[in-house]
Amino acid sequence: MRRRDFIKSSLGLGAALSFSSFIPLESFGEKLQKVTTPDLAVATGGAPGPMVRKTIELLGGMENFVSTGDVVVVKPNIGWDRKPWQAANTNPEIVSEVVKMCYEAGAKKVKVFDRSCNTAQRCYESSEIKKAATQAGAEVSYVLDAAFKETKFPQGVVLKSWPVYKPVMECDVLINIPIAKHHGLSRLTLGMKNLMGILGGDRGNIHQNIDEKLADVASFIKPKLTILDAYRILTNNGPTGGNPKDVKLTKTIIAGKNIVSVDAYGTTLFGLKPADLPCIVLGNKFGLGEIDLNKLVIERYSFAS
Amino acid sequence: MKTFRRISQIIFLIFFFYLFLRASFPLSLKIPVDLYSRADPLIAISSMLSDKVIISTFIFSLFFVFLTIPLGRVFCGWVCPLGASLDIFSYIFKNKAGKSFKKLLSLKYYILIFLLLGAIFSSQLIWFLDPIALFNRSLIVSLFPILTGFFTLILNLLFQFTFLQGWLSKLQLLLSSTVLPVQVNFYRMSSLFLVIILTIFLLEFVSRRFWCRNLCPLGALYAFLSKFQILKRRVTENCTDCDICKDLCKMDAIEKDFKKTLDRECILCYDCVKDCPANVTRINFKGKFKPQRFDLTRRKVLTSTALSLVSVSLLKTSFKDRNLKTGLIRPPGSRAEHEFLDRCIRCHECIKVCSTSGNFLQPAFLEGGLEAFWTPVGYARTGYCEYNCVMCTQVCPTQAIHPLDEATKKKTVIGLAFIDRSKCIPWYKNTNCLVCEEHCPVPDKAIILKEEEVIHYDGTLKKVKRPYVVEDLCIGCGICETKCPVEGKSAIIITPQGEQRYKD
Repeated sequence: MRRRDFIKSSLGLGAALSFSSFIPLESFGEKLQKVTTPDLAVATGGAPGPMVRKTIELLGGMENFVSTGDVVVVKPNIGWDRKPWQAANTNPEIVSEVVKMCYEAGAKKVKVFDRSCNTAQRCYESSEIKKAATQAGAEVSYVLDAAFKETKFPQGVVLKSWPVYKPVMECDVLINIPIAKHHGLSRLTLGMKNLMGILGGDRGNIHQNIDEKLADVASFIKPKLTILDAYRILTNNGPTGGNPKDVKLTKTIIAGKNIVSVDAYGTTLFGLKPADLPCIVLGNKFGLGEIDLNKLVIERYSFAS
Repeated sequence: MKTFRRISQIIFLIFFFYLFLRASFPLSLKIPVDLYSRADPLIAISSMLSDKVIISTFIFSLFFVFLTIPLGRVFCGWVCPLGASLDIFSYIFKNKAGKSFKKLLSLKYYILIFLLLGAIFSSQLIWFLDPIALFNRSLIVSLFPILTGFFTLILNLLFQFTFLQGWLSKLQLLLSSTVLPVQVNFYRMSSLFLVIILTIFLLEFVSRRFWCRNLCPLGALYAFLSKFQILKRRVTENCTDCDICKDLCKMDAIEKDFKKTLDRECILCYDCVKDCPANVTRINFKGKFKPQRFDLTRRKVLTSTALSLVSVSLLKTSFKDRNLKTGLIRPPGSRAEHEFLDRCIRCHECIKVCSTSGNFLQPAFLEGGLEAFWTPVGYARTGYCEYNCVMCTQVCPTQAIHPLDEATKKKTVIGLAFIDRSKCIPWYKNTNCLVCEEHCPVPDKAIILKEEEVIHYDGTLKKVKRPYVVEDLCIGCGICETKCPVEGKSAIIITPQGEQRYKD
C-alpha cells in the first residue's frame, strides 16, 4: 500500500509539476518586475525640474544608473545660440536637476558639454545651461578639437568609424538629454540625433544617408539613460527655430533606458508614429530597441492633477 | 619724474591691453573698447576731413589736443602704447640712442602733409601709418593669434592626460574670452602684419624710437600742436659740455649745443634731467617763451603734395560699385561704400570682436582694389555673421559701421545666398544633404526643401529633398556657406546682392 501510495503521489506530484508550467506563475513574476521598472517613464503638466525627478523615480531611481564614484557625462543639446524659451536647446532646469540627481546617487564627477553648431560661447550663455549646470556642481567645459579620437563602430553598416569625443568614451555613465524638435532632413531630432554632439570631424558629411548613420552611431554609443526634453517642443523651422509661434508648451518629459524606444514615443508628440522616422525603424531593425508602443511598459505621472 | 613717466607708460599700456582683451564676446564693458582710437586726433581729423562730417565719438581726442598745446608731446612720452612697447623692447635689448640723423626727423612732417591732403581729397590714407590703428591691427591679426595659438597648442597637448582634463577645462572656461579662445581663429595675411610690426620694432636697433622720430604722423601732428608749448627743457649756465644728454636722448632732440633743444621732437621723458651729472638740466615752465620753428623746405612740401595727389588719383581709378562687382560683403550697419572707405581706419576692432563670435570678418586683400585694402569683409567660407550678434557695430571708432540694435540687425540684409546646382549634393547627385537649411537662423527659414522625384543617372527613380533659397527672407549671414560640406568652393555662396547700407 505504501508503495502504491508513493507511486500515486509521485505521479500526482509529477503531473502537478508538469501542469505548473501552464500556470502563469512566471508571467506573474514578470508583471511584478515590469511594474517596478517600466520601459519608459512619462511625466506631464509640471515644472521641468520636478518632472524629470519623477521620471527617474519611476525608472527605479538614479542609483539604477549611477553608482558611487562614477564619472558621468551629461550630454544635453547646447547646439544653438538661442534662449530657453525658443526650444532649440535642452531646458537648463532639466540639465541642472539631472546633475543634482547624479551627485545625490554618489557620482564622483558630472561633466556637461556639447559640440555646438553656432559659436560655443554664445550657445553656452544663451541656452543658460552653463550657468545652471555650474550652479548644480557640474564640470562644464567646451569641446576641444584635439580630444577626438577615431573610433570604430563594429556593427556599423554605412558608417564604420568616426572621431568620437574621448571624455565620452572614458566615462562610466552617459546620460543623453535631447530636446524634441522638428528637423528638415531627419524629420524630427530626438535622442539618436542628439548623439551627433559627441562626434568630431566634418559632421556635414553625416547628413548624407543620415538615418543609416544615426543607427550605426546608436549601435555603438549606448547611453545608459535617455531623457527627452519635451517641456517645450519646436514644431517647425527646426532645429534652429526662433519664431515664437513654432514653440509648443507640451510640458512633457520622457525617460528610458533605451534611446530608440524613447525616440519612438517622442514622435507621438508631433502627431507622428514611430514608423514615420526612418532612423527609428532602422534602430529597431538592428535590434537596438522596441518601437511598438503597445509592447512597451509605460509608466505615466501627471502633475496637473 | 622719469619714474612717474615710466609708471604712466605702464599704466596706459596695461589699460590698452585690457581694452584689447575685453573687445570680445560678450562685450559687456561700459567703457568703449575703441577708446584709444577715439582719443587719437589724427584719426579724428582725417576721418572727419575725408567724409566732411563731424563725428561725435572723437570728443575724447580733444583731451590730448588741449594737453599738448601747453605741455608738448607728452602723449608720445607718457601715453602712447606703441611708444611704451618700443621703450620696453629697447630696455630688454639695451639699445642705445643710436646715430643722429637730424635731416630724417623732418620726414614725418612730410608724411603727415601727404596723409592729410589725401584726406581732404576724400582718400583716407591715415590708417596705414597711424600708430594706434597700426599697433591695434598688428596685435589683432598677428601678435595675439600667435600668443593664443601657442596656448592652444599647450592645452591640446596636456588634454591628452585624462587626470588633467578637469583643471584644463576649468582653465579654458576662465580664459575663453581672453587668451584661450574656444575656436581656433583664422586671420588672413597674418604674416604680412607681423612683418610690418616686426620692422618697426627692429628699427629700434638702428636708433631708439626710430618710428617715433622719423615716421610717425601722429607724433608730427602733436609736434605741430605744440607750437606754443611752454613746458620745455632748459639748461642752466653751469653745463660742463659732457655730451651725456645728447647721447642719451631717445628722440635725437638735443642739438650740438647741449643747451639747445628741438622742443618739437622732445617727448618729455625726463631721461636727460635724471642723468645729467652736473644737475643743470630742467624741464619746467620758466624761461623765455618762443614759438617753435619747423624745418620744412618749400620744395619738400610741394613734393609731398604732389605725391599725395598722385596717390589719391591712383586710388580713385576705380570703377563704379567696385565692391558689388567684386562681391565684397560688408558688416551689417556699414555706411554706403564711399562713406565707408572714407571713414574706415582699418583698426580691425570689428574683426577682433567678430573673431570671438562668428569669425566672419577678415581684412580684405586686393579683391576690392587698393582702396579697400585691409577693410573688413565677410569671409563666409571660414566664418559667418552670428544671427544674434551686433558687436562689430558697437566698436567702430569712426562709425563707418554704425551701431545697430539686435532687432534691426536681424532684419538688415548684407547679401544673398546662391546655390551652385552643379556642386550642391541634392542637385548634382540626387542625395539628401540639407546642412544649409538646417543651420539657417532666420525664423521661417530662408532655405526651403522641396521633395522632388528625379531619375538618377543610373536610371532609377529617386526621391530627393532639394534646397531653394527664399530671396525675401535671406539676410546673407553666410552660415550656409560656412557649413556646406562640399570641398573647395562652397556649393552655396553669398554675394552682396540686395545689401542694405546704413543711412543717416
